[in-house]
Amino acid sequence: MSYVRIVEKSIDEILAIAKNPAQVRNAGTLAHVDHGKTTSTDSLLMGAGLLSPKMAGKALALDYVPIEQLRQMTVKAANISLFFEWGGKPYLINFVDTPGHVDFTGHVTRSLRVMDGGLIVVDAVEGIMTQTETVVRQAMEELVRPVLFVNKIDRLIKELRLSPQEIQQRIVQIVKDFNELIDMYAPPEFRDKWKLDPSKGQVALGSALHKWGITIPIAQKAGLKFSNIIDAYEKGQVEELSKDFPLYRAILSMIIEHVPPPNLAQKYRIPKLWRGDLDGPVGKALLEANADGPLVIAVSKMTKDPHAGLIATGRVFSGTVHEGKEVYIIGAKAKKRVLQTYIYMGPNRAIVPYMPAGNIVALAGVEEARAGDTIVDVAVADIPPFERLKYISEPVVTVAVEPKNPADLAKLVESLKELVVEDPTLDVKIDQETGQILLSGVGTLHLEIATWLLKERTKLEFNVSPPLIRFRETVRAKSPVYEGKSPNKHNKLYISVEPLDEEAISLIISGEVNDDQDPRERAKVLRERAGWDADEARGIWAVDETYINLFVDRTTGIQYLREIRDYVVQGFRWAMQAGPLALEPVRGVKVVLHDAVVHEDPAHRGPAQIMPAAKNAIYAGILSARPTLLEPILRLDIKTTSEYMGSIISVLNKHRGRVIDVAQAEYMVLIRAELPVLESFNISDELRAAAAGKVFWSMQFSRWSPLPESMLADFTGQLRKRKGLSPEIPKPEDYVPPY
Amino acid sequence: MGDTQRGKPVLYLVGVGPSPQYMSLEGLRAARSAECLFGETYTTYMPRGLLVDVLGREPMWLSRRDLEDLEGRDVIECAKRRGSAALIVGGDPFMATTHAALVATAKREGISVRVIHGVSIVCAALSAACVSPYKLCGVATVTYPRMGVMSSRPYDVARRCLSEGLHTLLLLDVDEERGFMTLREAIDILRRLEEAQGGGIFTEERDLIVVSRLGYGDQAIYMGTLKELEGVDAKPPITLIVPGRLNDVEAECALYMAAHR
Repeated sequence: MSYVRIVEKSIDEILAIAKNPAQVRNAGTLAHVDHGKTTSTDSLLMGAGLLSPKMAGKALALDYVPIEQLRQMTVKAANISLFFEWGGKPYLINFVDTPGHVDFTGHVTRSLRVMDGGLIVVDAVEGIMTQTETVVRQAMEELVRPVLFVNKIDRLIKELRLSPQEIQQRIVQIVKDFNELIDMYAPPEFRDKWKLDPSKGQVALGSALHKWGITIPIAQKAGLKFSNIIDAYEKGQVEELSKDFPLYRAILSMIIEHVPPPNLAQKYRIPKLWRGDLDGPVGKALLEANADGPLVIAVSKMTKDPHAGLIATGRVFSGTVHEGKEVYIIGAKAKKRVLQTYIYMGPNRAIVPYMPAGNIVALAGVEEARAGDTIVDVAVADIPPFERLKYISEPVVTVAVEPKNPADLAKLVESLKELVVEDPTLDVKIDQETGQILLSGVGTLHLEIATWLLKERTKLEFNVSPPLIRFRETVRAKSPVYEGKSPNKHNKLYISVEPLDEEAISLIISGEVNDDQDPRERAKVLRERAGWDADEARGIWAVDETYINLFVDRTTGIQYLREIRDYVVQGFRWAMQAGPLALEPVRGVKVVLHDAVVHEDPAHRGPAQIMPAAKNAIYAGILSARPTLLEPILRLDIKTTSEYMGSIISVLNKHRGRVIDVAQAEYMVLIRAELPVLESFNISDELRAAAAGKVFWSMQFSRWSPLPESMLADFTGQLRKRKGLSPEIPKPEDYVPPY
Repeated sequence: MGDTQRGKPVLYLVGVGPSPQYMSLEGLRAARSAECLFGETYTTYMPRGLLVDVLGREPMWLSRRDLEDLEGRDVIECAKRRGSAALIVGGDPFMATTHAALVATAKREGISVRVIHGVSIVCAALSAACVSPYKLCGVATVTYPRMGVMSSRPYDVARRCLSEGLHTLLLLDVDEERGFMTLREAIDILRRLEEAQGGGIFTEERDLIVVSRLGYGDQAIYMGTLKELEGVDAKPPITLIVPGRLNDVEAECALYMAAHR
């Protein structure tokens, strides 16, 4: 029988393996919060000899910061490269840990790009949850092949006291549910290929806490049955179980056998992830993961290091990166020299002389790069970057951060900007009027962690306001054309607004329509997928990917319009960042430019003249097009026992919640519902009270929904007052005076 | 220009000319007699202290925001309430677009507008350099690139004018932060325009006339090729002339003006 033997190796030995793609795997963990991802990863570290066996399961090796230990979850994706021997052959497994908490879905997406296989961890008791579905869907979008670890089998034995047969049924059910997800989300060519078969060793079962794990082939070979495992628990022989059937062996054998090596994975992943010429020299090198080809690296993450500055972590898809290499960062449009190349070993980086294609690497010296960027050899600087990473979550909650000593303001802002570089799902703005620093994130927990990190790094004293929810402004009708005038009255822009169609909205969210796309290609996508008029689609000047809006130019032959185009677009972005109703971002609006009067001389048509002209006309348009506020809605999966179902549903009803469906599982009732974020602040206490504590749930951002009409006027007034504005909603004439 | 009527409130737009010493007697009379006196210095170069000495009273200074974003509300209100207001501006009033918009507002509010002309740079620069006004073909501003956009307008105008052998007057930008554009900055922008357009307009051999600090004691005129002028230490504010075909008299006079600065 072949098995994994763990040994410590020197950097040189590891590099010798890294050069052979057949002996490299890039994988990572994907799971619902608390389903035991970090403890599973720990078990692998323990196997690699990086942690003492006694510590594993207690110390969370991949968690860098104490707050995460406290919360028992990982927050930032961390990378580690592990060395294993399997069947007499050495392997290098580049392992990416990803956060399970829903607030950090952005991190998960970025991690997926650099891995070929995903270890999906599912709690045996709770089964497949909403977030499992989310990560499977994301994994499928990035063509990451899943393998499954059913964790916490100990709970089935000790808490639920299931018989061997019941345990088996439970696992069969989870695998069946899981394969249904594959059916639903996998691309057609992988739908059957990627379904999991436990008898082929594609599913591991075990307990990360107690460090044991098996696959069916491993158990069969050893003659192990579920009854033996139950016996081990009853007789207190769990330690022996973990010695004979260590979890790392089950998981690593599964990864080595079922996650494709990078050269094979890149053959089918590259056509999906990269849009360049696949027959060209770069395309060919990418498809083969050729270490001698031109250098191409996809950056998944930027982290701040107190000594080395900003460190980029990513995957070398082609070529070899080494210290001193001259590279071009496509997104940042910067030419840089790599100062240092590293490999991840636990929370530490070790310096390596070079890193070949197919591996995960950390780089110093490319500080301009951002998560999602592409770094290439200067000789191929003009190749298209990797498709932009898609973020499913949006920042919906904001806190104001205020230094106790005003002199610390600049320092605080600087550190916050660094945080945003590391985590693009955060957003920092300085309110021009009040001077407040506003930090937005995808949830309250997300912001708690960000402000905690800020404190750790700056050691400054500051106050954080209670969280405020972000809304969006949108329109429900087409506006007339308004004349927006520049302050000097010599430039005029004729603009109307209308609701952006749902198809275009989803194309922008998915990134299929984006800002730096070739206009002809963008027009083609909009024409074919959203039924847009060809002329209109070709006239797009700007795609607001942050807040999901479009600017379309429908003018012809206006002299010097080209020279004010960027100013008009800036005016558009300015208006989209803060709309006229209550200075909340605008979403789902199409802005159309119909005509323009442009002053001949550039001194009289600079940004200070053109930006307000555009913004004012857009504001007037929005105000006359049945504007409304959109509120963020959460998706809730609640599990409880049937006796509390009624009281849980009445809590939801009280808070404008909506039940989508109710499903009876084996032991529990699963209620799927939606709830406005506005109503969610005390929901935890209320749900617990309603079910005498016998309830658990998960939440994630679901969608934006119009505020009920009956609440709109009052609520808008309150929102305006809170921002120091007059409570009355302005009128179109306020922005387009008759003269 | 003007349509003053007895009893109707009046707004005087007073052009100072290139420097306070150029203020006309008519301008002085209006500035001294107006109930409220305003001044703006963001459209041209104007030393405030010297102007106050000439006027004998301190105007209320207005910013671009006051005159454009707030549409000169203070000026209009004062004229209406107290019967007369004067706005002191550099050069000649309607050479900056801002003031044209103010006239429209005043008219709507029932205020008579009376314009008192000052010497404009458009006229004085040609005169100072001794080039014929009959051959002036276009005026354009060389602007700083803003948000990465560099306007091709000065290039377009010069190209059209040169093709007919006519003169182009190039005003140089003034920026809130950077102040008056220097000769070196202007030459740099002209070179970049040439690089982008490639029409042979602002080549190293192109003859230019530089008018520096017109109306002041240290006024100076320089003539030479773009390359030659690069090293010249001409003080702002500066105006450039791209001469078309100079006739013999013009050429002789221009050379004399440049030599005897």
